Amino acid sequence: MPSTRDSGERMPVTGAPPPGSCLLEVEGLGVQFQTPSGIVRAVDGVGFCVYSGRTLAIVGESGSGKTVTVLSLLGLIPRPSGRIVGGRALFREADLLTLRSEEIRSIRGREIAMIFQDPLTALNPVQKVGSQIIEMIRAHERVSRRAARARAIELLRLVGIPSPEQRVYGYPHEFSGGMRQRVMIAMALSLQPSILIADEPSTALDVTVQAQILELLARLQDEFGMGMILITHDLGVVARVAHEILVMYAGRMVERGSPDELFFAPRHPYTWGLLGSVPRLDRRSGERLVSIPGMPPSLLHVPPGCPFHPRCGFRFEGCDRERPDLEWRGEHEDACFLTLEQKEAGERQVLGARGR
Amino acid sequence: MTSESLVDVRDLVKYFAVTRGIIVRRNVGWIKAVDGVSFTIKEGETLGLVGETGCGKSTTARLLMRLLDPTSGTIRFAGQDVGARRGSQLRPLRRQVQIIFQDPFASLDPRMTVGEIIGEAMRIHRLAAGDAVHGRVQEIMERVGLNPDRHDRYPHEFSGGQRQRVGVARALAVQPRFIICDEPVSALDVSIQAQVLNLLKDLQKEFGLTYLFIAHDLSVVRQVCDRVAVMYLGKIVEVAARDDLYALPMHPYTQALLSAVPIPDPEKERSRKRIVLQGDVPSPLNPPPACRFHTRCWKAQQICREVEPPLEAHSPAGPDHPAACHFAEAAQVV
Repeated sequence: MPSTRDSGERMPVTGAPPPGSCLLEVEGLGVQFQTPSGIVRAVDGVGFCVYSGRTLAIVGESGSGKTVTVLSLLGLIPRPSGRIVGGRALFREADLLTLRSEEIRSIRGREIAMIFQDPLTALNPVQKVGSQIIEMIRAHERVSRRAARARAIELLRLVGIPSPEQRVYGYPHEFSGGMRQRVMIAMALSLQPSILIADEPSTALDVTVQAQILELLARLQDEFGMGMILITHDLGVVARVAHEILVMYAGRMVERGSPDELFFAPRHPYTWGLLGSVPRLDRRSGERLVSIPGMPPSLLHVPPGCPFHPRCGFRFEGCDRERPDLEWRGEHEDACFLTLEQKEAGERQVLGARGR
Repeated sequence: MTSESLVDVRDLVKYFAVTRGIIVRRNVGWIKAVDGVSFTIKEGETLGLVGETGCGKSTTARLLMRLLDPTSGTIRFAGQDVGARRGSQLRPLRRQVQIIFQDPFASLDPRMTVGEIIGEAMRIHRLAAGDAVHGRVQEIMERVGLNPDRHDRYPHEFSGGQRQRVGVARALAVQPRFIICDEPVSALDVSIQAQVLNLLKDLQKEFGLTYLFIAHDLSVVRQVCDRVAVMYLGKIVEVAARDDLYALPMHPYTQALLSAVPIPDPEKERSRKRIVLQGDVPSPLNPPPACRFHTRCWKAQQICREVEPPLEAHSPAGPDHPAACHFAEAAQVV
């Protein structure tokens, strides 16, 4: 099992599924977009499990398909340009990818909620934040406005907004960035979803505020036993909160494993490059950082074979023809043709100097 | 200050007036963006300026460029008073001081080719003319890792990382001595960020450049800077040589800032003790009196609300590592 966080034992509320049970199972997900310049293969063969009380981090650079992956689970892919071309996503015995839009609407928000990177564009600027939370509650449940308002105030208190009785009547522009993100979190939690998807929840925030938001999310996860998908490009945030990590590149999965495996025994050359590229707070990575040459490919022209081979220092015959696949079950997995011995040697060669 | 310092900033202050009314504009307050900042940068050195949104780091950069006029204080560049110059007298200075902006999408003119963008300043400063410009542009493009054959392309045809290289090339084109890098990599993906950081480092070595490196990311700052100054609400609260700051932060704000930065190492993250500050950074319009950090500080006492702490050395840190706190003490947080 993935390692546990230092924040102590988890105490799921009654009724919540036991920690570690699989809430959502995604397999072979494929999403394509039709554009004037051709077909964009945004997501290709992605699979994972979301466990209750655990955080799955999806890591990758811009254009790696992390956001499209989760949007497709919620039926939020723009149509008709976007198309789900394969796979299934089992949630409570229903396949999210084939549900009709009314059916997915009853799951979205209530069962699977999402918070976005930029809380200013995700909130309605001309509506009081309280009304937005109340609207969300009343769209899914038959409760009076008064009861919904009381719940909104309670939620704002839960996410750490001072004097929520007054702030519930405030407009989004009267809140700071961190406070707005708290409002988004309150809204996402209003129906006690079993899965929370957080798309770069702290990227737009200052670092001291980011620490507050990450702390808050961890506390709420402990309290409600939610399964969480965290999308981020920040490997530091991943190391802090994730139980399991999925690394994506050009719409494909390249490596999957626990934080300890991914950070201390990474097997895919792209993961080595990513780890070497990140400047670290606790030490200098010598005069120069390890960097990956070139840039991520356009999804219109994903290289044949392994999509990373044009930038890979370890490619050999066949990498440009055959595509390595990744088993999505089991422990530590990676999509690379190198042998395990070659991977161990390669990791030492790229990241050797950094030590542990 | 010592004669070897290239940039010498003393008591720099910039207040922006907050006005109300359309016909009769009344001044209703001041935003104290930069409020008494002093620092020096030696030739060939990189000084990091870090802080959160609204701490005044970008305003400081614009003051150094003379894109803004300071309310008070002096800026000396290579011994000359920058503030005393007007109009065309500023031109020789502008050649020697260049800036690289954060957003490579907004800082390049979309209607000029990359070659024109890089060559424009050379023509203005008469560093090259006619066909010579073309040759120099291609040389510089090659040096920053761009394909010189693409000089007649427009910025939108380049990726974010390549555009930032264009920004670097434009700054380099006039052979400056001092480059202000204002969040040069924060809009880039990690693998591209590493390429640009390495490039900046190589260019510094090759041309003996001096950098002021402005960033909010303390990990990036550790990688590239020799000394680091931490700003909070318009004031410098701590300055130290790079490794001293990270190993022995003295100011509570520096400690909180460092402890908030996640480290890409799950083992360290599990065992680290974390200082989580309450609340947000107060507004620079009416900043808290005396020590500006007292509203969020866990060490705050009566004196912090009444007496502003000077930026001075506290043991065990040496004289080159001052902190502005009444209760400064070393703590290990990284």
